[in-house]
Amino acid sequence: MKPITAVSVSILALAVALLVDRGAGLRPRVEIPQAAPASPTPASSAPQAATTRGGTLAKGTIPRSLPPDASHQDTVDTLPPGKGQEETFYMCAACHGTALIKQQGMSRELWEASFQLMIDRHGMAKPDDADRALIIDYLAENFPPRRKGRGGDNPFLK
Amino acid sequence: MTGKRERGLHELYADDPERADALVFDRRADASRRGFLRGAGLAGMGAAVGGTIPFAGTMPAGLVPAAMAQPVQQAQAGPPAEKGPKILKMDGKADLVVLGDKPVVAETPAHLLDDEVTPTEKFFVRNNGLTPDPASMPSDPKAWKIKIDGEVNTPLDITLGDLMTRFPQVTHKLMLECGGNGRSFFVPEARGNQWTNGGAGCAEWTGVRLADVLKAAGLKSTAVYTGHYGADPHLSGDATKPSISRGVRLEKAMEEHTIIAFKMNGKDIPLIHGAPARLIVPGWAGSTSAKWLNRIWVRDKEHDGPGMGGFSYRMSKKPIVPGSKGDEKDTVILESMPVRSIVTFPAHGTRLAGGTRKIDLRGHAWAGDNTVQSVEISIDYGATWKKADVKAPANKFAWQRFTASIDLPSAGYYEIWSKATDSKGATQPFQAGHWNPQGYGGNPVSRVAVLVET
Repeated sequence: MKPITAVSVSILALAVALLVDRGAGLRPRVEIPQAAPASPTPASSAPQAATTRGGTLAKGTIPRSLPPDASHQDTVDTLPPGKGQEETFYMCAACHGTALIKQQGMSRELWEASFQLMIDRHGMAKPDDADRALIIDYLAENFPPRRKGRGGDNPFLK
Repeated sequence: MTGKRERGLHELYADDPERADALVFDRRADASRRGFLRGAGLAGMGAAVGGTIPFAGTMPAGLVPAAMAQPVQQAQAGPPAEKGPKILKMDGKADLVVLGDKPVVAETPAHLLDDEVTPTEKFFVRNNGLTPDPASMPSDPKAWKIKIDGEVNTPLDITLGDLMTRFPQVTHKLMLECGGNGRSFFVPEARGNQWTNGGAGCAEWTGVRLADVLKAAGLKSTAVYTGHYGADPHLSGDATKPSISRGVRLEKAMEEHTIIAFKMNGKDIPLIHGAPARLIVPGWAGSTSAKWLNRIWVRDKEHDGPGMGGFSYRMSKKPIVPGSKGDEKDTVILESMPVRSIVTFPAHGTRLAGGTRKIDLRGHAWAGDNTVQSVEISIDYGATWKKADVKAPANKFAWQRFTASIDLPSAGYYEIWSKATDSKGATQPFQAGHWNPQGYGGNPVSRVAVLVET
């Protein structure tokens, strides 16, 4: 590997890791009811908006645009391809964006703990054992720990 | 994305840092484990960071240079960058770095935390649920209701309007910080949003003391803890489920700086920051500062709402092997946030004109319930340190300004490291320690890379 190639490739990879695609296409199974899109001309149409949207909050409290969660449109292909990609997407993205998944890097054991946390704390549906294993395998395979310390592997972890 | 895997710098360093050094920069560690840059390697790393490295001799082996480890913000506005961090696009908000879009989570790059008081547009965003629909809120914010119940003699169901007139109003500059701030510094990765140091800000908040409100409700002798609830729906859309509900020991709830706020920097709190009313529990994990506050349940035991159990906002009592599963029973609630410092000027990635030999830098430091006693700066990877001037906080729980004039001996690549020590003597470590499954308390020395051009 030539030094300069390694560096440019790595910077690209860092960037790619932080990107979230926003293409159209398949959507999560569960649709969360969201507010209507913000008015294009908030200043002039404010009184009208007040009657149709349930009234005006004090100045400054009405957002001129809705926060990103209102227009969240992750699709299956925002997750890397692999066995379990679709199952993982539909299970996880029913509630949260794939960015939350992609920024993590954990062992299978910790992914399993995360999965259980979603069931216990957040009321995620309990899949059957086969789907559970498929999804946890996918997460562990695609999002393993990527950071390690100066000394390389921790001698106390297998 | 194709099946072809790109090998990132971090991955390369993760597999074997010393081999990565050798591969990428032809850098070899000597017996003392300091980085030893051979002629070609020094040039290679210099090319990658964009300049020569004056303190290469003290640069630790396997250290990913800060210039490459952290994305550099683009100063100019323009079309969305194809590469680099995803930037928040939201009216009324500055160019924050998006960690997640559902729930909305965005952090403030250090150079945008340079103001003495963090402007609302630059304030970080951390939601646990969905942002409440503005249409679901009362047309008059003063009609917003907050319930105080549980271990009180007279439960209250008070409107914000009544709250504002019945209790004295106070204004303070208060530090608010996500409990997971600094999580990205843990090795290996801990569960959750990978914050750098930007899940923090010090805005000016106006509200009423929670203590006054609780006293008005009449605390029973059985009252020991609070449980906080907001109107943000759970991500699943399940209306019966709180997105999160955390609380604090009564002592913290009664502290005079813990307030129910309705103004942020002199204006009504914007929706994304918890309109029309929210708690501010300064110095403690931000999740206790419930947004869209609609209920405080006074408890006769430690609160047990979502976010109070398992590993959530809990540190391991005994040190555990990094990356291991841990034991939920052996944990303790994270209360006060740890000491932290950030350099807010110069910005990470700044190019200084050729001939620059001195820089007047500045930053902010804070320490949860404590104050910051001292801040030290190093430009040679921690080999030597220089004391910065540290100002007193504007009020308790405000962050503190530090400044230092630093000599730069030559052109080249420098990392400015900052290290704060709090009033109890705790200092920022070189690496995030006390690894815990959800990654709280990561507060290593902060690093900013600058380049003095030739």
